[in-house]
Amino acid sequence: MSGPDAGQPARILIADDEPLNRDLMALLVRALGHEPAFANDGPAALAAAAERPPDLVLLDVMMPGMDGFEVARRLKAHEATRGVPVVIVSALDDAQSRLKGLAAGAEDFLSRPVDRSELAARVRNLLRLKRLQDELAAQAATLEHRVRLRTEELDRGQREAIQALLRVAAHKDDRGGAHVKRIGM
Amino acid sequence: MNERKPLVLVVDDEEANRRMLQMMLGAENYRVALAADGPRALESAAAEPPDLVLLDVMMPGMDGFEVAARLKAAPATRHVPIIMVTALDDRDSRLQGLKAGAEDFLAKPVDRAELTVRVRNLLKLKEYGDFLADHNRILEEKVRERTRELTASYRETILTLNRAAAYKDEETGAHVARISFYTVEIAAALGMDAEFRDTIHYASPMHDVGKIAIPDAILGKPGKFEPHEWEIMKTHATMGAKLIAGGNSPYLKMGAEIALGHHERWDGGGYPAGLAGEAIPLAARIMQICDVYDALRSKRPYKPAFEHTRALEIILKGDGRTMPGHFDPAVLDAFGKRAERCAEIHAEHADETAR
Repeated sequence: MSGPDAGQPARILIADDEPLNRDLMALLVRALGHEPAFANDGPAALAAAAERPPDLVLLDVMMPGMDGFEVARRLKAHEATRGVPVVIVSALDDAQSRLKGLAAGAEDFLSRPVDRSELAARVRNLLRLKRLQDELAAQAATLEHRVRLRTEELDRGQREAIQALLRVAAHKDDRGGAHVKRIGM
Repeated sequence: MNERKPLVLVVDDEEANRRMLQMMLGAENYRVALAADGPRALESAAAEPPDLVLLDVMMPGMDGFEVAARLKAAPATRHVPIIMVTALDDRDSRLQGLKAGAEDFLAKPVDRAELTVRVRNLLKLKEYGDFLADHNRILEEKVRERTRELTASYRETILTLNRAAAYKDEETGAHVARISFYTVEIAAALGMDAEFRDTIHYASPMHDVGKIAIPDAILGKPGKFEPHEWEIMKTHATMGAKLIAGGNSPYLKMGAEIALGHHERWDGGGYPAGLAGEAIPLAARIMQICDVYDALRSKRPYKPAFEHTRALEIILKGDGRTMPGHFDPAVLDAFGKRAERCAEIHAEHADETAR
């Protein structure tokens, strides 16, 4: 099942130490029309995200060594990965994890066992939000660019108008029939 | 981006649930509207479209899916995100909710952290979406604002050029003003966009700039022209285009088109090139009819100034000198539609008799 306007296939990083969980999640991600990438622990997730920032991260909280909260915190601390939406994947009854995930800067949550519709909704909304945020960020640059283009255009137009005015003025003093021939009529 | 507090509509048939969600959302600084059933939710959303709807699935009468489908079908609420509140183990409801157009879900009992992130994400989505929908209009406004001074000085230069262009015209400054307004009226009647109308407003007064190059002895001659004099007189079209053409300025480009083509005729009987039909640029075709109208309304050595009705009649039916076939039929039709406006323009910008 794909979202109503899933748009372009996105690259989704699945960070989980359990191979079975990764495979299951990958299956669901592919079914949504997106492309999964994998990391089997926290440091691997950070390395993968640094090398090529994904469009979204599905992050398991319970990983040995560096847990999901720490990964989320580090992703949000780095300029290159700050904008990547992070979804914390935790146990259903784990309210504590959700609060910690929120504090670590995660964008949203997903409970195990993962429900297809929930995953579809969350991935679709966060990808759309990311795209809109990127467009907004580009807007400031676009404005400067367009102001520059318009300024150049007006400048050029004004110079041309002044030149035309000078040509007209030159003719005003130049009476008599001979000039018509000189102009090359 | 938006100073207004977002409005969240909570729809649930259980009062305790409504109260709890109201409390949690109020703590997040949102405005909250409450509805106890589907019909009242639709009523509330129609009266003031909310920024987000929290919608219970299981309600007596109209269920949540039906409410969602109706909200998504109405133009005013189509873009309002919906979060469906479902039972934890109810996978079917979530699937059905997606199909009904819901954006996301919340499981009962509602977890506060989940509520917080989901509401926040969807409100951002709505706000950014609304903002970017207006993106181009807002951007264009900002560009215009930032280049206002330069635009003003550019136009000032064009106006100076227009005054210079009218220097040797037999007409007055009022003629130049009238031409600007007539041409804009005709362009509007033809459905031309704001850019075209702005351009022709500033470009049309340059139509006779080439008369600068015509000797006074010919230009000011009271009687009929000798054939060789008429040949020289006719060069003002080509001459004018040469004086102002060559650049990329839209005003000068159109000004040159108008100068060159405003004595061409639709039937091919005009000068300097004898162009016919759409080979004559539209701006020149518009200028041509306006020039003829204004000339008919003005006193000339060989004719009196005609009243509006007579001038209109000559343009629409012909008088032997001027024929309807001279004009582009679409432009002629547009002129007919705006003839009264042209009469008003003529009255508003009358020639000063003291000159």
